[in-house]
Amino acid sequence: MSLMRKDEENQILREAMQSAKSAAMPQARLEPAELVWWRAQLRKRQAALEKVSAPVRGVQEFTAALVLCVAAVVAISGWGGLLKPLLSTAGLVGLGMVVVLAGVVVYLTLERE
Amino acid sequence: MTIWEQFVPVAKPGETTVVLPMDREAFAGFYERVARPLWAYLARTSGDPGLADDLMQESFVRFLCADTKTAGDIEARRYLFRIASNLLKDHWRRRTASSIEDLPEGAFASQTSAIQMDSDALLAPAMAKMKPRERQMLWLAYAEGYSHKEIAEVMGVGTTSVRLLLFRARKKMAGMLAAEGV
Repeated sequence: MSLMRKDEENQILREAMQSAKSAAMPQARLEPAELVWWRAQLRKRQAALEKVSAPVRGVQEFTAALVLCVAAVVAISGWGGLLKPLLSTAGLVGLGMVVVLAGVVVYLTLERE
Repeated sequence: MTIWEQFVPVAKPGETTVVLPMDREAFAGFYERVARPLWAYLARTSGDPGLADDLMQESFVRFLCADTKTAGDIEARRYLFRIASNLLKDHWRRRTASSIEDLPEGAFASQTSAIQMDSDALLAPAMAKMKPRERQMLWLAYAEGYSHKEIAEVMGVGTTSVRLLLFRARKKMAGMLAAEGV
């Protein structure tokens, strides 16, 4: 009895849903498949570009943060104390190398990620 | 992870059989076969043809962006329906800022009338009284002919839950249709 009831219900629902599906399908306004395809290709390319540029952006952000930190330290300690050794050739070269190396390390880390 | 990637289901290792990536021609054929059934699913479960247009296009774009190698049309179709279901769920979540289960049963009743179809004049009011998840399950089961396992996969829920929820939804829907004289 219960099985018969279940079959009846299934039959009612199947017919109603199939009928609704048949009626709905012609109403779909489809864009050309080509357009959808190219839209996806553009989005893929955009995603790939974002992925590639992520490490570079990371380095830029890191460098900006480092420059701000150095500027803050210089400002706090006063121009006299810290600026003198930094202004020497060796000091400038050393600072430059630290910034470049730090940038390379950040780039490689982000790229690996 | 980009924004679109979070809507694309992640295939478990060994879940898909690697065949061939879908090229442009294969996609054109697939689109021709699947776009209308997908639109019908989205339109009838959301009750909003405009939303169905948007979500259908978005589903196809994300399907292509995911570059998933599927073992044929049936699997690709199921995968596409899964993406569409995720988008639909997300739309409902954003709209209500709450769980989809908290939505009132008649929440989409006014929009359902946007689809004017003679053949489902009786089905539309009954569908409007169902919860969104119930509509999805009923549609996938009876319009698409999916098994419990396939519905579970498409909707991202357990097979046992599907069996139970579908049983209740079937009783409810059949009761309403019978009362309307179907």
